[in-house]
Amino acid sequence: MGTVLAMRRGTLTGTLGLALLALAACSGGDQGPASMLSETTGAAKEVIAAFSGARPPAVVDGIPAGLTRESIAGITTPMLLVSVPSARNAATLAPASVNAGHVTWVSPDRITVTTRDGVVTATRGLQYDVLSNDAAPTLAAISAGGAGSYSRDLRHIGDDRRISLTRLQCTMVASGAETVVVLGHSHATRHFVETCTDPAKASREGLRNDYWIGADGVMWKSRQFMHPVSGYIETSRLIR
Amino acid sequence: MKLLRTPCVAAMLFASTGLVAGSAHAERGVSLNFYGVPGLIDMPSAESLPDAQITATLSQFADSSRGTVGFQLFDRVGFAFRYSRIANWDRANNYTYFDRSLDLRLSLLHESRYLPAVSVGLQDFLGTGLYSAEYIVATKTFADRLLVSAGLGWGRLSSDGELFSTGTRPGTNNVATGGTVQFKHWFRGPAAPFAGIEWHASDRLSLKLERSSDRYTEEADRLALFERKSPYNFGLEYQLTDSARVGAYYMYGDTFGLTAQIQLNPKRPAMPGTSASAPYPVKVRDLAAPGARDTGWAERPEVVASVRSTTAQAMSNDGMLLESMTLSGTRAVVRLRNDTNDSAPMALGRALRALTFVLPPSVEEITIIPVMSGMALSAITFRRSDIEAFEHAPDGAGQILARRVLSDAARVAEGPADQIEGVYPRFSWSIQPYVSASLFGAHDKLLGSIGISASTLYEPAPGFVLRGSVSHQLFSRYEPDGVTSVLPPVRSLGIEYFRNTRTALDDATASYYFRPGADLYGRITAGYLERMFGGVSAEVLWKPVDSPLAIGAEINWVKQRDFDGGFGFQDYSVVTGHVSGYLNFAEDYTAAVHAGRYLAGDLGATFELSREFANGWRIGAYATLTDVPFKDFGEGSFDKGIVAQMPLSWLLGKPTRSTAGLNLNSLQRDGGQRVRVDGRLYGSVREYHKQDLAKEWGLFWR
Repeated sequence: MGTVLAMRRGTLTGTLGLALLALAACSGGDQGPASMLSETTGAAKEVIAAFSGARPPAVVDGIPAGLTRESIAGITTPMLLVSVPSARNAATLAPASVNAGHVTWVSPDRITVTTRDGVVTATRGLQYDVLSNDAAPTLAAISAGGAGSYSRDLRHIGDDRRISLTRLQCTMVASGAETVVVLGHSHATRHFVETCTDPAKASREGLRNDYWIGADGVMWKSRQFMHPVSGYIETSRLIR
Repeated sequence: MKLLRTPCVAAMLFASTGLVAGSAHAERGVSLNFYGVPGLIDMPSAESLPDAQITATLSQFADSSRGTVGFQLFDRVGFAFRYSRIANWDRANNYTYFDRSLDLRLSLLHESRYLPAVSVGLQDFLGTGLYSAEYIVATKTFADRLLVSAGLGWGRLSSDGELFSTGTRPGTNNVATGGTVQFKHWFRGPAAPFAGIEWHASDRLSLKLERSSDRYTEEADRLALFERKSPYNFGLEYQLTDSARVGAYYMYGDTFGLTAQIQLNPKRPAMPGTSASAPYPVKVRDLAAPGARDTGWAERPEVVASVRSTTAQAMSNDGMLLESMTLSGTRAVVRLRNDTNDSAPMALGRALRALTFVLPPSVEEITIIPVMSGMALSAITFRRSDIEAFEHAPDGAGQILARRVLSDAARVAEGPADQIEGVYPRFSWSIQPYVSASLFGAHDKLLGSIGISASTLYEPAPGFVLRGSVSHQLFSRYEPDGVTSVLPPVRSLGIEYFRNTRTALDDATASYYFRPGADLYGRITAGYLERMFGGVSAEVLWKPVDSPLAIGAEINWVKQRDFDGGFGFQDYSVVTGHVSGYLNFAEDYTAAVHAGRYLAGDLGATFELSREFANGWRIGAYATLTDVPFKDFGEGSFDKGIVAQMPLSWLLGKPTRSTAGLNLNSLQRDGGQRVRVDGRLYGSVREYHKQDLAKEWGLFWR
């Protein structure tokens, strides 16, 4: 697949404290329940390795270093570039499966992003995942050319490990024709802007999703709200 | 008091709370006082802690040190357990006074726009009375920066500035043995007012001023540890991180004081988010393809063998072990052992998605049977079409829950040919360091040992478990107790087991776990059950998969082991047994009652209440009342304690089933003691039953 790059995980600063536990614990035999000490020393070793070993390629402007149009020239399978600006992470993903119109894209280090016609409906493997996002109202508003207001459900796993449901109130506006450049390739697109608020929150601060969709319905570029802690996710379709 | 053997959990907790900040703006929580409860300096306030908050406070002034651990059990009910130390209590004899006390706080009113918060507190209601007090206090916040508190105190909190009196208060220091609830003197006797303010000067800095109604008769007047020149205390507190705060104070016009406070909440993980990698996406079948619904493959042994081995591999990739698999043309029954994922629903979801890859398209019904020690815990059945349909549904978890069928696994037959070859026998071993600490022994010194322990686990066949562990002390400090007991010394000579023995056999047992019948689970364990006793233990538990109620019975015949940790026994033997009832209610809480005969031959019952959070944190308390009269029991009057268990995944953010445990109990006396046996049934069986699965069901599609 050419230069497919791995996504760097979020920092694991928490386990720095565990570096205190340099005590060695040994075990062997068939895989059984792990002892607490071997778990924590294992986690500490991972952190130390992550900091001292080869770092994944740096990400500049949401593009992993070394990723150019030439480097992916020979690839014909679809490819999606996904970046999480708040974590300064980015990776290229390939389709792994399709289910009822939802395409699940996977990265080399087993992070998945699921989209339906480009709208992100789930992520797995990021530190802060979208558990599920209802894309149907958003897609309906896009095909209607953008108008009116609708509600949409966004679900995350909360801190207490239960589902936290955010019911957003959104409006979609067709912002006109725009040309977007995705890694050197230009595409003529219609730009849609979706603004949403969470009526349950007192602050009433809104979020804004941007979608750039080509004439054939392919979402060439987007910026979508993902999680209250990690913020937005940006997608760019590198190869159709 | 004892701490279970555990690597240094405290260091990890402090390390983790130190990082939760990092932002310029620290989130300020409720501030705690010298007694470790919400308050000013020595006086309490009416603020209440968030539900499930855990606090730890260390405070020191004028030879008085107090360490307090608190837990907000319900939204309006909080407990605090305190261990205090007053040095120079008797200078002539170089005697330090130690005291344990327990507090209860109730929030009567939460603060609202016009009304203040109002709380009622019982301080030291179970101890020997040095700190005994009751209070009612109100706190109001102004402009989000100024908190004003005022209240009335009884007992110790009325020793200065008596306003009026509500009856007479029996002398509090007359209780010879302590440990009993002093109903009669609650809110009786002189009452005095106290008040104070807390000013939030900045994001992190606060100033406190209070007028204390505590005369410190013992410490200031009788012992002259300091001079109480004024009833006013001043303080400065600084919020270091979201969880940690420190303070410096000028106390009673004479001396300085210091505090350090930490607060954390099981509902807010130290490592938020999760680093669990993505699961396999569901592989949707093409049922229109020719031969898709063909079941002929099930008659061909080489195809069946291939499906079984790829299933075993796929399960192992997700941290699970395939123990047996029954395949027919349209149905698959899979018995899995989950050793990695601490979330049962997440383990199920991953297993099912992996199965959509490996099972031929004609298989429509999939049953997963989680097994533990060879016991099938429940049977959870799904239709493959539902898995395909709801993978990406917005409310996928709710949808699949509605279509899941949960039933008793004892009714699902298993043939011998279904077992996967090479799974048994299983053998594992580990060698690791341990820390065993005993605080507050009769000497109130820190006793304990650090050493190495080696353990092994051997499972020759499903249901049979042989385990053993040996430990060797590298450094130790134990002193003879000098404690005498009217009862047979079943636990009070506990120190003798560690004092003169370097290397000891901790336990060596052979167990058999089985399903006696529908809704029934059984265990038989024989051997050296724990450090102090060996014998035979048998247990049966009745627990239907969808019932919040469980009933169990256990009977043990045990003999007291020799002190030297070897294979020998002493003369004392006893038959003990209990009938237990467990009730899971309000999602998070479990109440249990165990009634029967204890190690010293006493009869009685143990009451337990615990709270288990969805993420695996468990905090509970227990008390045992038997026919041993309080004066025969000795100090403490009856056995009671607190247990806490922290899931390591909460601290590390990655899936793991390891936990760190802590058990604080009252002085180890001989009344109300049960034998310690590994592998009691209730805790493991419940994990794959309806109530516990519901807690984290949202993780099914994670």
